[in-house]
Amino acid sequence: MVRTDDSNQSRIEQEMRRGVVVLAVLSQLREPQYGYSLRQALAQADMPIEEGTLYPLLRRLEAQGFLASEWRIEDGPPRRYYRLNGAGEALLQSLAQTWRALTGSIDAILEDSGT
Amino acid sequence: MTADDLIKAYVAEVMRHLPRGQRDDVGFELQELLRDQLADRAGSGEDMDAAGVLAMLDSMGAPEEVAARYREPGVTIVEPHRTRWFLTLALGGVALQWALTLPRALAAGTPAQWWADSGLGALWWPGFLVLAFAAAAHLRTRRGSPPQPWRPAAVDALQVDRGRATGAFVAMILGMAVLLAMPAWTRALPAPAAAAFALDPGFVAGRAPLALFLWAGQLALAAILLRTGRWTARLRGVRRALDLGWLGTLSLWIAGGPIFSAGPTDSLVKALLVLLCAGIAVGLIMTLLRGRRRAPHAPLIA
Repeated sequence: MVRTDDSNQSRIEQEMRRGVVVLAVLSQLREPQYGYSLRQALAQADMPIEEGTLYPLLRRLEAQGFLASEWRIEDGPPRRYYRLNGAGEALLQSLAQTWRALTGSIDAILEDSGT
Repeated sequence: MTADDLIKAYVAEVMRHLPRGQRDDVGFELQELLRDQLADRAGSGEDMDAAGVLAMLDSMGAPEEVAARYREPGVTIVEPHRTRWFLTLALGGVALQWALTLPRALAAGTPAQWWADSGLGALWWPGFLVLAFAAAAHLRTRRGSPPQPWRPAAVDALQVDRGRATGAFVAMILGMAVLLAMPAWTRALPAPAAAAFALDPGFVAGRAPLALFLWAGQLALAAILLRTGRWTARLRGVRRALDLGWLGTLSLWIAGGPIFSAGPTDSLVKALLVLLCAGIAVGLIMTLLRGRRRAPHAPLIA
């Protein structure tokens, strides 16, 4: 199947965004959040993430040992709240450091190339 | 259906694709998250009729895709770079079995029976390959750490391993001695065994002596390799010629009449010789392909 240029561009942009989703999610979980509130917080920070990506990601991060979760009842039905644990905080620090180094390098590359 | 009914139906479909231990927990959470999303969209003025709810669920993704994202990535049984090789082996094996069994069935006028027996029966081969690849994938997963770094197989691919070549030379002589002495040692066996292993006199007098020339050629080639310790293009050509000679001789043995006087022994040995022919043919093809692909060609520049 031959992809069009538009779909190729869209796919490449999506892959670039996918690379930073985990960092963005971890950065918002120093305070407990549930899935929908987290999605709104990220959208307000101009980092929209599809629900179909975000909600399973929270479960996977928890299964990998980076998040802790608990069911809470606050003005409505029970909701599952997630927050960073010690391993998650360490991962966040490491990813943030990597990100800053990467953006520095990419900015320099783009400036050199006149982009 | 109401909006809530649509959400429940969607969540139920996601749950169907989840591991049993996850279903209730994930299903309940997902249901509440979708209800929150619906309430938010309705609150911001969006028309959340059935079409609106379906559009919202479409943006989540198909239920089986959403369920897959909740799971850790599984083990790959056939890696992408091995797919073509796997398909070639699988389809080639099935085609070979069909080629060996179908002509006889057509000649006997029993194609339907052939399909029920050997036709479908040949599918054991792809199934076996899947299990073999799955076992290899499991071992790779257990090994965990990155594979050993690549190193060339041999500094000089033409160099002959003298130890291994000596062992092969001795084994060849022993094998030839056993086969040449076969008429004598089978007569010494107890009667039923002697009858089972008795060679057909016509084969011994007519087709069997062809092997003597090929064996002589192989012994000479092995002796030269042991002495020189190195392959040359000419010696490779001699080996290919001997392989072709064996392919022709074995085909003549199979098709030219009985090899053993006893029918069951004859059928079994011929089946084994067919497999041997297939192995020689595959080896020749691989040598041909390897020779063509040895070095990359420079790109054509206009």
